[in-house]
Amino acid sequence: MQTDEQELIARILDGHAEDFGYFLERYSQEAFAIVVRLVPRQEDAEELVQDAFVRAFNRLETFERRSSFSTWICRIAYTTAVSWLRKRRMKYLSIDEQPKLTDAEVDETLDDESRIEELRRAITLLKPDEQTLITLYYYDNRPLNDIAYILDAEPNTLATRLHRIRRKLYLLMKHGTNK
Amino acid sequence: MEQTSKDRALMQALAPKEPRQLPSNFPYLTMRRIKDEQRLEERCQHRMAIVTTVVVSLVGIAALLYLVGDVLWKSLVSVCSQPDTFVLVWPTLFCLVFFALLNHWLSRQYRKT
Repeated sequence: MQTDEQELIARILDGHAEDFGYFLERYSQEAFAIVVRLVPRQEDAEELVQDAFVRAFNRLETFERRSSFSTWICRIAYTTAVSWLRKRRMKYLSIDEQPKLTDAEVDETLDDESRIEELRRAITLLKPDEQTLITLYYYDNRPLNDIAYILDAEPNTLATRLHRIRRKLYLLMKHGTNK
Repeated sequence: MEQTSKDRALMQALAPKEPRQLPSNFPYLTMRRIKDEQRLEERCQHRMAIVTTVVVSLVGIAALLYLVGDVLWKSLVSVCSQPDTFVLVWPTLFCLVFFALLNHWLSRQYRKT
């Protein structure tokens, strides 16, 4: 967290609401990138990001500086999107029983660049937290501690979950994404 | 979990097909919504303050009347029966009207600034 951002937050809490514009300019796209992967329609995603920023503004005094502002707003955006999805009862595929698989099999499939479209379809069938986890880890290259804060999970369990998601993606691709 | 170059296909699949962006006026629209909500909240608090003041005053007056209403009424009757009681009524009324108008004018001046 940069010192000038801390000063800005103090100013906003002191009544200078217009200073919040800085955070909107700087972090809205980042929050949008998380929401837009979970929410299919652009308009819904925009509205959810706006809701997230309004919530952040209203709860600014609860910002504990345990994380950066960027991670904090991403967490709010993520929880806003997930509760929106829950209200709409969107269905996601759950594979609880996983047959015995070798890591080599999984790695090989997830490295096969000729099957990217299949992989894309498989990703859309993952649960929102799973989609967000692999996106933040593999695509955004965020540290596990930040991801744990955004997803409200323990960093230690994320590695196991990433492992499970890889296997799930493999199964979805192997059995066809229409399962 | 070790992230390796092996995950190239996964990384490509996670990349958005067409990059989606927020509209350029997003910060402006969000700030406007924040300010609107703040204004509504202030109005709501203002209304609540008025309602609370009115309720507390009414309860206070009712309690006063209940507890010492009889004594007050008797004193009022005895004071009104004396002939020089109403000598100060007109000057007092004049002062009240003058101060009410002054208060109104000062409030308007304050709101203008």
